[in-house]
Amino acid sequence: MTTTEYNKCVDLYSDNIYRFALKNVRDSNTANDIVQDTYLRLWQHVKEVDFERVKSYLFRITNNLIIDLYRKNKFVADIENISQENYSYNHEYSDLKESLDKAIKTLSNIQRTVILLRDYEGYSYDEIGEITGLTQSQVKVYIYRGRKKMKDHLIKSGVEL
Amino acid sequence: MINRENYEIWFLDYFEGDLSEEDIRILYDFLDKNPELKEEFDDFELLTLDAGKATFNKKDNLKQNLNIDTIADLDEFETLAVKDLEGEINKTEKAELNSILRFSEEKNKEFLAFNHTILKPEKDLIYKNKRSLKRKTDIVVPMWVKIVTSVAAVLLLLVFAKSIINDNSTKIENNTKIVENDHKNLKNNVDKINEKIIVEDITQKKKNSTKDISLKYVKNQKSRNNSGEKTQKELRKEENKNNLIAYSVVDISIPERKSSFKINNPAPALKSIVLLQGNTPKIITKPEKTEIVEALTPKQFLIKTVKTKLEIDNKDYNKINPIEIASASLEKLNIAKMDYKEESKSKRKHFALNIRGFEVERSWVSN
Repeated sequence: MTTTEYNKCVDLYSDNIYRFALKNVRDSNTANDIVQDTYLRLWQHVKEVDFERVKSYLFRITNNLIIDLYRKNKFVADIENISQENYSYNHEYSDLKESLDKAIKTLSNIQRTVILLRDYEGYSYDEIGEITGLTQSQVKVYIYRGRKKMKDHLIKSGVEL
Repeated sequence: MINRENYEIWFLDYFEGDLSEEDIRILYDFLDKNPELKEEFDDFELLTLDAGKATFNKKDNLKQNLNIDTIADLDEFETLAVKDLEGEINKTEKAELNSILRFSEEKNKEFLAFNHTILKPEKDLIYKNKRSLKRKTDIVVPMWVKIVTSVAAVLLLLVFAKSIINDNSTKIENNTKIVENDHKNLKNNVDKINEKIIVEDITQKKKNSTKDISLKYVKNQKSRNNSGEKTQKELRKEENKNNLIAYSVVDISIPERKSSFKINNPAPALKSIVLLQGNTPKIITKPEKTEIVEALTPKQFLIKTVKTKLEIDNKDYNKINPIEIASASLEKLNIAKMDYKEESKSKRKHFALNIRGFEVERSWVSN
């Protein structure tokens, strides 16, 4: 990939990477740092990366950085194993978007990652598997379970659908 | 052969069943000769681990090509609903889903909630520091262009260097002559003016014990007239002050050659500063206002003049270089209008100078 193509990647994908990082870490400064680190790593391997596949490459780096962050700082608690009954629901949710944001937070890190890649970027199960290192079946299972969890949250929050 | 260094390997091979009958006989002979190792040999036999009966209950989670229909957490309706969202539902499943939805309001609500789990990217979330991520673009120059450019540059340099070497000596000579001539002309002009002023005024001062009123600086004339009680010494002091201003005017014109115009004797007074009307000098003998005259160096005089003209702040004034102004005025001396007259009867001589509105006139009586 040439420098021109690299700069084009910045224009094309930095917003997507930023949104993906922000939805995962929920802090704009940290998300900014992740975008910076992602493109720095791309630049370090710019000669080896094919322009056609750079988007997946960027998301793979970003996903790895987010996982590192979780491991290093325990930035966001993985709540996959917390039972649904332990959630406290605020029935005053009137805004669907706010309720949906809360629903995203109830997802485990991996569930959130695969659903964001699926919905935000429109990736196939195979592509998501390539980015996350999961098999196609695992990706499917995480997506199905994630959607069910979000659905349950929306129902229990009492938001008007 | 077995010995005390390698007997453990023999023991292990024995219990693994890897020893031949001959080797077993050798091993037994060794144990008979070393009874202290017999106990260790017996302990080897007891080293067997029980595998236990623990089992892993989540084998299904590890298996590949897992059928989505068997995901434990999702019931039939939920699986069909997500399949529909993901675009993986077939016609039979779609019909089954519709039949469930037709008879259950609760399932309709759930299905609606499922539809809201499709996330939409927030386009207003934009990464603002794109510029910081970008790198300078490579400019790819073909190799042949680099070679041709390099050769052309070297040739050009050689031609240029040759012409410079040939012309250099003659150019330097010509330039030196031009500069010397310019300087001489300028010096002569200014020398003429100043020497006449200085010499004549000093001579006049020595001969005349009484002061010629016309020699007084215009701005002090009124105050001098009013203060009749002033002594000769006081008057001389005032004249000296005025002289500093007068000579500062001359000095401005020759900043680079100050040493040529060094004044050894006390300077005479400047007669007057006048406004020229056409080519005829008009001497102002009765100024209306009296001002306190300060003794100024050429630099101070320049600063004061520029400040007055421009009404500029002190801090901003520092950005103006007085030396540059002085140099510029030196150039203007060549195009200045100058007039020198001598009255035959009174032996009075007049000098007038006008450089674009900056006007000076002097008059004195010659011996």
